[in-house]
Amino acid sequence: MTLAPKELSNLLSIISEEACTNSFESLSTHFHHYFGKAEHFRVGSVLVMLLQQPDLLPSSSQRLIALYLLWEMYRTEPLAANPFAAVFAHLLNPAPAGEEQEKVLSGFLPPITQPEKFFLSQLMLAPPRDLFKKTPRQVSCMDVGNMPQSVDISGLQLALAERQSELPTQSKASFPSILNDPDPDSSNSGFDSSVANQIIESLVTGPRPPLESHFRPEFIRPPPPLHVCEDELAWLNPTEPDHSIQWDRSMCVKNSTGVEIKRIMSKAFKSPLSAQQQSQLLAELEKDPKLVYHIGLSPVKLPDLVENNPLVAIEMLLKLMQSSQITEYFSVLVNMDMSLHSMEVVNRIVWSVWSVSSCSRSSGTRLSMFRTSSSRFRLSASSSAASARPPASSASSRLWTLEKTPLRPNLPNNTRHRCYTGGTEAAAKRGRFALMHTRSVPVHHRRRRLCSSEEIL
Amino acid sequence: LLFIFKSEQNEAKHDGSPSLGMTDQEKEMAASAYEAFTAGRCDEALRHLEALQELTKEDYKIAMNKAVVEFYKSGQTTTGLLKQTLMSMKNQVHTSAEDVDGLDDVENSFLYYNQAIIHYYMRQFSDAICIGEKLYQFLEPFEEKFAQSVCFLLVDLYLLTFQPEKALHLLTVLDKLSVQGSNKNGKGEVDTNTKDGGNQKAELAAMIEAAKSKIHQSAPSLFLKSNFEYLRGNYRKAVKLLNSSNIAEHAGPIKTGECVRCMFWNNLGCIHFAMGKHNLGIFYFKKALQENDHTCAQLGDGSNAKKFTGIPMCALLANKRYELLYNCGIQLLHIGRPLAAFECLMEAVQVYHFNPRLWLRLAECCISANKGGSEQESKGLPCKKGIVQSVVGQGYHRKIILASQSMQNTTYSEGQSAAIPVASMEFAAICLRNALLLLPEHQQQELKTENSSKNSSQSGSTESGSENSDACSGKGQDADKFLSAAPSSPLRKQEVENLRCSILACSSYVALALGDNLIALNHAEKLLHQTKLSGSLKFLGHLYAAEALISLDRISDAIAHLNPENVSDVSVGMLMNEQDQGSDKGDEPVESSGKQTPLCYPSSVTSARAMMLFNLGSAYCLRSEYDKARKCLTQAASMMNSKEIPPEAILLGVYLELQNGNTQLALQIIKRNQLLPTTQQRVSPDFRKKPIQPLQLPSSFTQIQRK
Repeated sequence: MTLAPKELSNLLSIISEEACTNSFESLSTHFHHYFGKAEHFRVGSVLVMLLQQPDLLPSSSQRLIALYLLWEMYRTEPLAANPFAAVFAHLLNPAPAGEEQEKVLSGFLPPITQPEKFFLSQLMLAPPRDLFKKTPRQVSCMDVGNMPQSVDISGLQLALAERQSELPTQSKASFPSILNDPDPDSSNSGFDSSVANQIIESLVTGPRPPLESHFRPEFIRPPPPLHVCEDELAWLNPTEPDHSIQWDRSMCVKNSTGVEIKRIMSKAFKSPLSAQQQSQLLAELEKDPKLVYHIGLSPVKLPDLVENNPLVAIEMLLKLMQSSQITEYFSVLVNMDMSLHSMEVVNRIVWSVWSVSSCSRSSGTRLSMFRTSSSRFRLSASSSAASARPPASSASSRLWTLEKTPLRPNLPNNTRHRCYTGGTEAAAKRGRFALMHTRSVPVHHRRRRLCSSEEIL
Repeated sequence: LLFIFKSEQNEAKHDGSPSLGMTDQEKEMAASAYEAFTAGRCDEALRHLEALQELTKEDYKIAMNKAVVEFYKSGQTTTGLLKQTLMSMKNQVHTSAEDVDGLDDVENSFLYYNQAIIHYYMRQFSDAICIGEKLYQFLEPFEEKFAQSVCFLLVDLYLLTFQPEKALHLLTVLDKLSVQGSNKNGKGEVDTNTKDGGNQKAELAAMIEAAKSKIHQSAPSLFLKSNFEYLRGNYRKAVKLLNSSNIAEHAGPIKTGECVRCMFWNNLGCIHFAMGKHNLGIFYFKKALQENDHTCAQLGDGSNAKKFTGIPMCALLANKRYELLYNCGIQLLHIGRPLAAFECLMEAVQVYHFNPRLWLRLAECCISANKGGSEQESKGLPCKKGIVQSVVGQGYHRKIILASQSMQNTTYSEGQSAAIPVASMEFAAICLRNALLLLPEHQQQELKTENSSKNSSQSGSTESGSENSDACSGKGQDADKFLSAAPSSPLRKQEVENLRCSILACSSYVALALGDNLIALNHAEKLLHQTKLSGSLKFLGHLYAAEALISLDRISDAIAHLNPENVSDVSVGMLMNEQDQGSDKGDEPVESSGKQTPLCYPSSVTSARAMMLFNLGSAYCLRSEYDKARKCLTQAASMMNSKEIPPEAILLGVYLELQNGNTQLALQIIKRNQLLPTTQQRVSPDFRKKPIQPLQLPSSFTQIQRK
């Protein structure tokens, strides 16, 4: 928006007192010699500013040049499109009489003389050619008393009003921020163009010149306070960390049984094992309680094992009871498709878990989680699959058979069911007996619930 | 307790389970190699291992143990090399990467553990945690001591990454582990005989006793106690405890990997910061930084740090530069040196870029640097705020250039990308966007907590009916409750909400300054919708929303925001802390001098209302309702000390006079309030500490208005 000092001095030379003896036409050529279309608006802004400051542009002929240039720059376009048309409209607007003060202040454009007004109104109409052959000085001295004075500018005013209505209120409310404050003590000792030019330069050039700023009601915008919080800084505590690289103690202790067991396990996921394979697997599991973690039973694979070898699954789950992953195994078990095998596994596990829980309270949450999920399982089983009655009582026998009786060999699917229901009368009694001896209240409560579910079944 | 386990580890015994795959000779050799290693005879161990390698080539563990021995032989200084070796071994083991989830990994647990250790010391904590959690999945088959090592490593890692709730959970697991272990020994289930178990127990008890008496005077425990008192607000006691730790006697950072002196100064800085003694605070933080630099120089940080060689592995963790810079930066911001603070925090944010509060602090630095604080004054930059920008010409030509506030407030740094970190408003906007993104979604969280509370109440009433497991949902809620804010403690839910409010307020302010009015309005409205909004921020929210609306040409909406009745309280935050203190610390009296009293901003409700009235006046002006504007102005001016009247208000008075045609009166107001050029006197916008400074002559502002 600013003019470079060089540009400004060019402009000032065109509108200087000395230039007033040139004709308007030659001034125009000069102007277009110095300034291209791109600079017009900036130059125009400076000219308007000068028009606002009567002390910087004192002579009438200079004002005439300024007005002429404002018009000349945009003469090829319709008048209303001239960005400075508002200046013309304001100056031509006949002020109501008796409001001298108002005129001085609003917009800070001082009133112009009659010849100037005449010249301007000529510009508004189609100006006669020979007007521009005159010099500004000649025009300023014209006697305009008998010339037609007023020109109808209502069309222009309408167009301007329309354009202004599109502007936000805020931008219409501004004053220029340059405020005249002549020192009353200093006498006006005549106009000195070099002093004036200096002042103009300081108003127009440089970064963010006063010309650009404007004055309007501003909002108070206090910055937000610093965020307040506690414990923001990093307190440093020595911890004496004690983690060291460790020697692998499993070096050279690999055992070959693992390989065989793994082979059996991979088979167990796919089909029922032979009796011999199963007993071998279970025997190894008995021998090394941690073996179960090494043979590749992940929760994802559990359903396969349950479907093909439910007995193995039960044993392995019991071994895994201390694992942190047991809940995952349980949730897989509970959510798998319901079948005779899965129900059998669930039932057995439930019974075994109770017996464990009566001696160790530590894994309480885990059990309770399983309990709630398995009870849902049971209820849905009773409603949907009444024919496939899960032998709850036989599950109770696991309490005893787990430690004492040798493991049952696997039987073909269709016969196994009968086998269980047949031989469990006594076991069931013993199971009840075992439960009678657990005295803690929650167990008691549980037992009652279980009894009722047995009755339903 | 840590060092008990250390001694236990050292005397770890060989697992004597029978194995068929290995010959007796091999087993013997392995045993003697291990023996030599534990006794510290590295060369001998190496010889055994080499002999073993000649017998069997297939077991990579021999090679790994070799690497381990060589690492110890070098005095634990070849961390980089060991890392590479382990990495290549891992790749060998996992050539067929199909069985990632399988339990086969139990076999390679030591390899993983050692890798995790190296990640830990190289500060690759997330990698270390990743491995550690994998190991933790099959903790049960591990030997007890190894299982404990894994757990302790994970606990430390969780603490370092500020996930205390996970660490706590793990510690209870550890507790259970050790209980189980002793049970087993007692029962004699495994092949250890009961006598041994009993002896071990007695030994252990004696050691615990000895440890207890030592622990009470050790630096770690004193620091912890001091930390505790610091958090409770007993600052003097905290200082006393810190001072009683004998830091001079502490083994240097090369041995322990920790520079206790540096921690000491840092913690003193924290305490003084909390006491509001910011100058002392910065003094101590600088001292800590010096100490840290000294340590780093000692360790030869510069040249060989990239290769991780030459320094003992534990010392790799000694550098606390980023924590210290973080503390320093926040302290500098509070002391009113935003540019210096910006430098510090910019460096810290490169490490802690997940901390939303740190991003907010950075934005605050930018805001405070751009509103014209003391730093700029000292540099002689042009006056930021005032009534008169300059006076041009003399005598007859004298002209007053009024200062345009909006020009000052709207700051563009031209020709620079906003992403380049300079303390500009554009960069502040980026910081704030980051901060907001790092906060958890507001509504989701609300929903979740509601759900979980429902769940818990349900499962409370009907014992077995609910499908959900309480344990699981409880855990999930716990994880949501905290938001990581490294390097300080994680944020609680309430603090997160407070943080959100502050971020929104700053965002709105910055957007206004950048001229992004729609965004400013958006943020301000969001701010006003927050449930636990402090009075101060509510006031600012209305103010910012109104200004944005004015710029959007919605003046009537703006006027609705500017109702002075909207302000009833101007306290800054701290609502939740009072509650917290009530519940947590109700029984024990807290030092009264300790915590700061809640701050107010602006200084009083009256001044806040006056500010609103001034802005309301401006809004009326825009609608050309000059009489209403004048009324607002007079009323607001009568509410304030005439010295505190902000420049915007005076300019509003000038504006009204100019609109009225009274140029002389307008000039008079200007001259009464500010004698020409404002090179020395200026208005300080820092409402926080001092009241707004003066408009030079004791003005009879209101009187002029009444004329």
